[in-house]
Amino acid sequence: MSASPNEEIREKLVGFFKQRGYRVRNQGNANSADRASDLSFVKGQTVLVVKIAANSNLQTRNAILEVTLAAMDLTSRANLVYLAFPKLQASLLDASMLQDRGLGMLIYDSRSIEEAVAPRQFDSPSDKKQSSADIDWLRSRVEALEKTVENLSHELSATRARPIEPSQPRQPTPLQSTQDGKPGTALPSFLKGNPWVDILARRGREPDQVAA
Amino acid sequence: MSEAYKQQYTFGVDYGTGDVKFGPISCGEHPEIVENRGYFTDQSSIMQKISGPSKEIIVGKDIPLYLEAKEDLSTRMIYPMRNGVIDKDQERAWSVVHEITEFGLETFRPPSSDFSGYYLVSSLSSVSPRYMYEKLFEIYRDIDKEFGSIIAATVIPQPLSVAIAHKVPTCVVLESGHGNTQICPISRYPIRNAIVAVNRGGGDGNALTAEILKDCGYGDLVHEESLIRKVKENLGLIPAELDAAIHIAKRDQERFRATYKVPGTRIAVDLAENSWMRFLIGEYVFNPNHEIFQSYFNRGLPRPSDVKVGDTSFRGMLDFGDAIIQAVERCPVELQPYLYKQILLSGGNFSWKAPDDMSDVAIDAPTKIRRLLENKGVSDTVIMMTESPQYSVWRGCIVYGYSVPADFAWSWDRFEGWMTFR
Repeated sequence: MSASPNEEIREKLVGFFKQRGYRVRNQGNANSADRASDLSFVKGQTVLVVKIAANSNLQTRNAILEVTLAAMDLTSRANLVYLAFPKLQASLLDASMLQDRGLGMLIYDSRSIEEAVAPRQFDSPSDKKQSSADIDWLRSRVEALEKTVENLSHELSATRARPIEPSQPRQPTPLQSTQDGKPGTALPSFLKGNPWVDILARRGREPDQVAA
Repeated sequence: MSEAYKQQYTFGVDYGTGDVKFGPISCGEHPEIVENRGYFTDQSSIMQKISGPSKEIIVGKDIPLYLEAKEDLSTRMIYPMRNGVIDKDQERAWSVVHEITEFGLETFRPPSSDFSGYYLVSSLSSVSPRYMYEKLFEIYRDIDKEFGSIIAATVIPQPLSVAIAHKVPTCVVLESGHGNTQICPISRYPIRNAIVAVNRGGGDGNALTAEILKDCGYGDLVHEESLIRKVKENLGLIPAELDAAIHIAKRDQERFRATYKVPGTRIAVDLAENSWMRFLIGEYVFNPNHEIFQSYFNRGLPRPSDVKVGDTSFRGMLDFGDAIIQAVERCPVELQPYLYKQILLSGGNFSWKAPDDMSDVAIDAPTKIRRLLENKGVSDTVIMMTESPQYSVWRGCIVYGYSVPADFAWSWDRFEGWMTFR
């Protein structure tokens, strides 16, 4: 695995991913993922790396295993990981095994590159940091909720032990009436402009008017 | 206490046959409503021993939480005002009135430190005997002694409350409840000598509906009064003219087909080829004198009878047109035209459907009353349904309490004024 992959294949892969909107990651700023991979691309926040298995590197069964494990190792450092395999040797590898582990598989020959298996999106290191912060925040919320439930449970037990009291009364609202005792604007509609207010206000202050 | 205090703390209670409407003036347009009933818990039951003692009488919205066996309902559930009048010795009914009044007042107990009791105005049937007034004052006095929540109280006739709520000083009020109907002429106050009472109300409509259901094969449903009432309200119609309505409904059965499914149950009623009977229900309430009702009386439907309660005679078979005429003609002749020009219909027994597609034969309650009066030579009438009939009695109580001077003491001669308790 120490020999460099074929330059022609690298160019084809760069062209392949450029068509998909990726740009080659600056090697000067290369992080551990870039250094361990043979090609590294970026699109927005997504980091994509390609581990290239060249023909010359796949002479033994161990070599195939080694390149596959190296690709697996990249999943902790990039969002998308491809293993690029020569068409002739592709049949040696079980593509479903790569799919299960989230690795993408590219098959190439001198004429073309094809995506045989699409990769799964992995969390990048920054995502993992964020996830860790989220978990800490959730943990603190759960602790706070546990405390609240415990307090409520105590209060409920205490309430059960007390006799039931009447429900909270509805609060009467202040009323407005004018100085002459006639209904003001805040009173209900059935009081406003009601001739009975004057008639009844004279009860007991006038000669007996009961018709009966 | 000052007038301002009284106006701030006026409290109204309408003991309706079905619901109690209560609340202080600060409730605004609508009072609080609970069913007028009380449930007597089984104090000896094993549940009482396990979960600790509960109140003996449950009122308000919590009743369903305490219900026990269905068979016990008839003995444990008490509807005190079911017939508009409570007998003097019906202790359990009076206990429920006490409990509901106490519940209503405590629901609205103000937190304010200046509160020293409400001016409570309640309303009873205009034909209630004196002992009912005495009993109510006794209950209010007891409540005030225990809770300090009633500074003074008064009781006014329901028709007066209705007239007050509708801002009409001269009118005839027909108040029709479950058990009876009162026809009360009013000219700035009820004209007591002119009041006519009819021993017929919504309950009689229910009784006829039950007979019709039996005739149509639904005899198993007639034991639940609430169900019968629903059937009556949904299927019953008032005919413009009974014979014509029956003739047309028999000829055009599909148009008049009466079906009703009780919501949330599998129960469905279909009167099918007997759907013409739906007109009998409305006619019976307004006028039970048609010969067709004779067959029901012969088969056991109780004929609305003349009864005397206290000093008042209740006529059983008087139709509502005749009843209004009798009441108005007991008043001075000069007043009579003004009374016919303002007839107010109040109470649930006047709420009837008149579907648009049956307008050739089915009419509403005011139109039926107008027709009954026209048949007897009284024209030029104005008949109105009360607005918000559910609340009008309570609203009248509030206006009365707000307006009548706090120093106008109760008089047993006039049956008005404030009864003070301290």
